[in-house]
Amino acid sequence: MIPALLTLLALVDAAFCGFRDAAGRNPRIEKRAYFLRAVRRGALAGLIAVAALAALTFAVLGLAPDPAGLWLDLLAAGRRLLLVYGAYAALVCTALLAYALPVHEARVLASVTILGPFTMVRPWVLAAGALLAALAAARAETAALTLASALTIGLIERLLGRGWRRGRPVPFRPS
Amino acid sequence: MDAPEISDLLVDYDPDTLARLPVRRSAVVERLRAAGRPGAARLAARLPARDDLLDEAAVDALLLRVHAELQRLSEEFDQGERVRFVLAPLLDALRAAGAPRPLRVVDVGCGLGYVVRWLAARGALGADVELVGCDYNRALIEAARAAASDEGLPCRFHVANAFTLREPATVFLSTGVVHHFRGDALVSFFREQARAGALAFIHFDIKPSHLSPLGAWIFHQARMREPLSRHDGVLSALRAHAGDALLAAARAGAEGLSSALFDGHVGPFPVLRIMHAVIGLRPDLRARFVDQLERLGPRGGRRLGAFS
Repeated sequence: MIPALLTLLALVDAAFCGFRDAAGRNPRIEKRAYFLRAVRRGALAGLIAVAALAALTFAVLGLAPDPAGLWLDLLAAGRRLLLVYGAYAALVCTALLAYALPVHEARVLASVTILGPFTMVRPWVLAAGALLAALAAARAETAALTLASALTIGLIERLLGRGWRRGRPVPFRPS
Repeated sequence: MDAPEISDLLVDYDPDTLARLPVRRSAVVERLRAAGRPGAARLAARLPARDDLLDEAAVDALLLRVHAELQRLSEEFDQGERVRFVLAPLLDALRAAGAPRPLRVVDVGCGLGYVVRWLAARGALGADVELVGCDYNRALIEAARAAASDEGLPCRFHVANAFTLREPATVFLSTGVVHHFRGDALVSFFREQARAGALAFIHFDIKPSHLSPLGAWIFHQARMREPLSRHDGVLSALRAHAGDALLAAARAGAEGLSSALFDGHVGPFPVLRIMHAVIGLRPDLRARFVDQLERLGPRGGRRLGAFS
């Protein structure tokens, strides 16, 4: 359950990274298809990251003298990660519900009080959760895997933006 | 706060011909340093230049990126809907008063023309409304035209002074523009609209409050990539005119038009009212406009202040 929930959080977070990466680059009014493509691109990047992290975790487990003990320690670290990231995700998702309301002020309020500030603190939340889990881990492998996971997820948005930073101008392309 | 925004200094135009004038990078850097903005001066010093003259193509590319980011913020804060909420009842009032058709709505300093294009796509303002955007920057106007054409939107964009158009405006509007006019220039801004024969104007801008600079900083850090966007965005919040100053300038400049503030009251929750607007119209339209606005319910009528 814990690995599944963490995977889900990582994929949703990566999908949002895709959205944020595409936002502010396309001047069209109707951008649903454009954003859907961006979200899929982000989610795919998240999937690749999660697969790589899973492979690394299984490799470390395979090499460990006590795989069952390490697995239990990893689950405990995962529970701590879920505590921090789950609370953050719950707040963001609650704010997003405001977008379904037909009240303009509700959307502004959600943006001003939650979505904007929470986007800004996302790297710090990522780091705080990872540190909390890593510092409480009983084994060095758990701490290392936890930090590696947080770093990988944190790099997704930066990697997605590389194409734009290579000098592509604002894309006035149809969605 | 009268420090200049970087984007205001990067381009210059001949006021008569609107021809682009060369801009010296060293002059921009010096001006920003003198205004006590060393970070902004460092940003300007890194801009590409040849023989100290800023590279116009590079400046335009930068402004396109900045305006695309600004559009994202406008989308997030529903600027199109914000304008439509006031503009639609105003147009109804103009129709009821028998104003000449078409009702031409001209966006002053439209940039990428987001609001004009949004209104064309979603505003449902009526077939008798013409939507026009004006800006001095050719690159922004060409991008606005391309975006409108791409989506088949019924609106036009001109590299022009909005106040001297051959086909004059019925209504002038703008979003996030008026804080660029300081001192006497703000009064002149309103005077030119009255002189141009407009029947009304609606100018939205950031509403200053104790939270607005912090909010602007958070949002520009979270949403903007360009350092110039981040710098100018926060400075915009610091330079935003108070409602009283906007009203005083409108009343001094736009002779023959009555003015009022929309969303002028900050109230206990300033985060809900991040923009305010100064609205001006011919005195005989006042009652009709208030009536149309009140038909939208308490959300409409109560947000409008007293007309001069």
